[in-house]
Amino acid sequence: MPRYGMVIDLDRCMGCRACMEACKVENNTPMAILWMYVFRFEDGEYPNTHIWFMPRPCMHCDNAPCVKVCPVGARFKREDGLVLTDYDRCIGCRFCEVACPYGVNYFNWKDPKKNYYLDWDDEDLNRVTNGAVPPYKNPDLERRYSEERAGGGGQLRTTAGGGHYKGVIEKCTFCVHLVERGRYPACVDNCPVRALLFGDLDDPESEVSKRLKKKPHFRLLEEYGTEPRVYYVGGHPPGAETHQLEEVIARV
Amino acid sequence: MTTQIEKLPYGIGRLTAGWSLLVGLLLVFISLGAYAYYRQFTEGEVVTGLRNIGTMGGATWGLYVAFVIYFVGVSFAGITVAALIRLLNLSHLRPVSRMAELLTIISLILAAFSILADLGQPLRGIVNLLRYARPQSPFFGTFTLVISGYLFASLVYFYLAGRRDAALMAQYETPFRWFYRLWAAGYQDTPAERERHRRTSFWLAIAILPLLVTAHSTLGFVFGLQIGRPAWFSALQAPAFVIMAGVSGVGLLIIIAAVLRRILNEREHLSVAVFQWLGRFLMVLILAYLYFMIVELLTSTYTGHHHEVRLTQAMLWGEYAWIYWPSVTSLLIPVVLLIRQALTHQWRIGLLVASGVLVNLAAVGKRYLIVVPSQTQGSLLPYGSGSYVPTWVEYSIVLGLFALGALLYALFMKLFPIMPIPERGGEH
Amino acid sequence: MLMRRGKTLAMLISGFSLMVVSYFFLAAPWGFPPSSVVYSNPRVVLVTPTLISLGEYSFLAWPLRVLEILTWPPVIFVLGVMMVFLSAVVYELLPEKRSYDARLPQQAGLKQTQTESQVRGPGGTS
Repeated sequence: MPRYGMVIDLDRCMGCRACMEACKVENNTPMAILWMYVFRFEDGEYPNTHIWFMPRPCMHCDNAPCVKVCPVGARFKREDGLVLTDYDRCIGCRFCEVACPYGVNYFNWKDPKKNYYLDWDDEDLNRVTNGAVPPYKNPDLERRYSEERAGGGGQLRTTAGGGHYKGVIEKCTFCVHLVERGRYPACVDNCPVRALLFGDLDDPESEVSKRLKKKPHFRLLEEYGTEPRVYYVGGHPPGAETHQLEEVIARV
Repeated sequence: MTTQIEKLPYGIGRLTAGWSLLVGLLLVFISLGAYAYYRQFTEGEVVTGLRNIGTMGGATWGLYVAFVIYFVGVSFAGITVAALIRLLNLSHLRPVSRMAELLTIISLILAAFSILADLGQPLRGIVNLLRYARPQSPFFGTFTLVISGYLFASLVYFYLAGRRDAALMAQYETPFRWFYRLWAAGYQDTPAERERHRRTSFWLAIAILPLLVTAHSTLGFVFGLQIGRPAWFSALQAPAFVIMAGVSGVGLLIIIAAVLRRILNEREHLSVAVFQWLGRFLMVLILAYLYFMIVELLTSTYTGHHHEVRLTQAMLWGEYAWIYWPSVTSLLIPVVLLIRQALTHQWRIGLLVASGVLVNLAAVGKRYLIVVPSQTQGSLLPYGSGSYVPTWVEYSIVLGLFALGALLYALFMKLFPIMPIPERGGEH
Repeated sequence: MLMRRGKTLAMLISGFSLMVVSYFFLAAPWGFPPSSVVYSNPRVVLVTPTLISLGEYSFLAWPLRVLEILTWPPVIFVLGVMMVFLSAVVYELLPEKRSYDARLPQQAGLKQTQTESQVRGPGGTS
């Protein structure tokens, strides 16, 4: 059984947010829902400031607070480490969201079909796209991926992609539909500077293990004991003085 | 027929103009709430002020959850009063026992409704909770113990305690005679039966008391076990929930008892002594809660961790100060009023009712402050602060729930004696 | 034959055992930390779906249908809680013995309804 994890090299990240875009396209997430988010931070006071970027996917914690609190087991942890949401079982209580220290859960506040950037039923749009499949029809995302019980048996569960129903929680899946076919998550694949790496943490030959060996690493909010599976190398964790750039402008 | 209705105790069956007006008004509010819920159900929770924590800068639990806690909290009153009567032999409180139990039952029903109002998939919620509920989730206790166990236990207690009056009511020629007979289930009021009831209710009270502590604690654990939000992770959360439940429950009971005393003109049975007991009880509970509040404030500020400090600042003199300080004041004024009355031994029902109203406002405020600021001001990653403003949908649904509770109460009052019928009540 | 006390006791015991069984043996196990799907599902994901589909229309399917309730542990837990508290009703409503000596009308405050309630009351004559 592999032990999937992600390594994010903060020395390399330049805040282009291509990963956010790739994630949205791959997983069909509706507007304002950012499974992958890249913080653009400013540390310190002018003129002694430092600007840096920090991608924030779901941490796929080993001691996941969201899995513990889910009243119906819609949020679960797979043995390979992926923390997934069964959107067919979710009742929309949003307990996982308040339990998560990282803020990675997104609720479908309204019907996702009405919340896309483009109206895919629009005639003009269809003329331009020549009737190409609108993103929410991506057939990969409708398939069932995770086994209901460890070791097989039972039904497979609906986990992949976003924008399925209103009133359920969805979040980063590490692109389970791609990982199951031996591919990388969309954000990793689309990073132009290879700041994001994905692989088996148990395999000493994998890219992630090698990068972790080469550089000192930290994990976000490690002190809270959530045991995240996302490792950051280079750079430092955000502190009390760290602000988002957007917020800095707002404060002027 | 009408002559019979005239003789019924506590205005049962007499649909006065005032009562009808009240019911009509409540129905208006209920329909408003139902309409709001219809909008939420069809359009999704986008019609509420709730939004995602983090990049969306909102609170994902808001008014609904605050009122789930409030309603469950209010249910404290009934069983506690019952337990005080049975275990501590406080027979002064006997006249308010039924109204307190009814308060428990109705408020738990309202709590269940507000949970449903909060769920994004309410229909799925009903099925999946019964099918998949996991003991590891703090919600398991809320669903199994609070909503079903606690409610069911209260119903059993309520039913058994009402048999005697049902038997008395069955003596009258009323259209609901079958109902009273069914309720009485052959009760004869023999000494043997009384003894048996005394024994049953004693054991029931003993069994429900731990359930009461567990139920309110479970709700506290929903918050107290979460490290992800500053100011939630605290061992004090569960006990503080139990105490605050008592404060709001007893406070509301005082209000209801005083209103009924006025409406039914029952100055003898609902004597000042009853209120005196409730007032003392309320005083002790508020003092205990204030102690908890101070301990909590000290714990969160002393360490000076920046997350906690930011949150405390928002509460003490930031965005939430306008709720925090009125809530604290609404606890302090009743304490002063109650202590003064306890010292001078002069109890005034008006002042007690004022205390009841104030502590209930404080209870709502404090619950709001537990739920919301830890989400908007409490991200551990530097997302920046968020905001949450409830919309008319949320206000309407909560108002509708209150109206529903009041309606159930008003209907029950016209069907069944709200206070135990005194010993000679059956004779005319 | 079980008398009133016996029935009450039986209900208490079965109620508590239902709770224990569903909590510890049927519902999803606690995980410290939850590291697998096992901790997010009721323990019994019965093989009955396949069995039932085989014998959908035969009478053999019915016992399996009954077994299906095992996949609803919270229901069992709630039923257990309810049974425990219902035992109080049983204790109070069931008659002591099969005789009416214990509630002679002269002791009662409600003489006039005595006969009626005996006929009407669900627990009156059982």
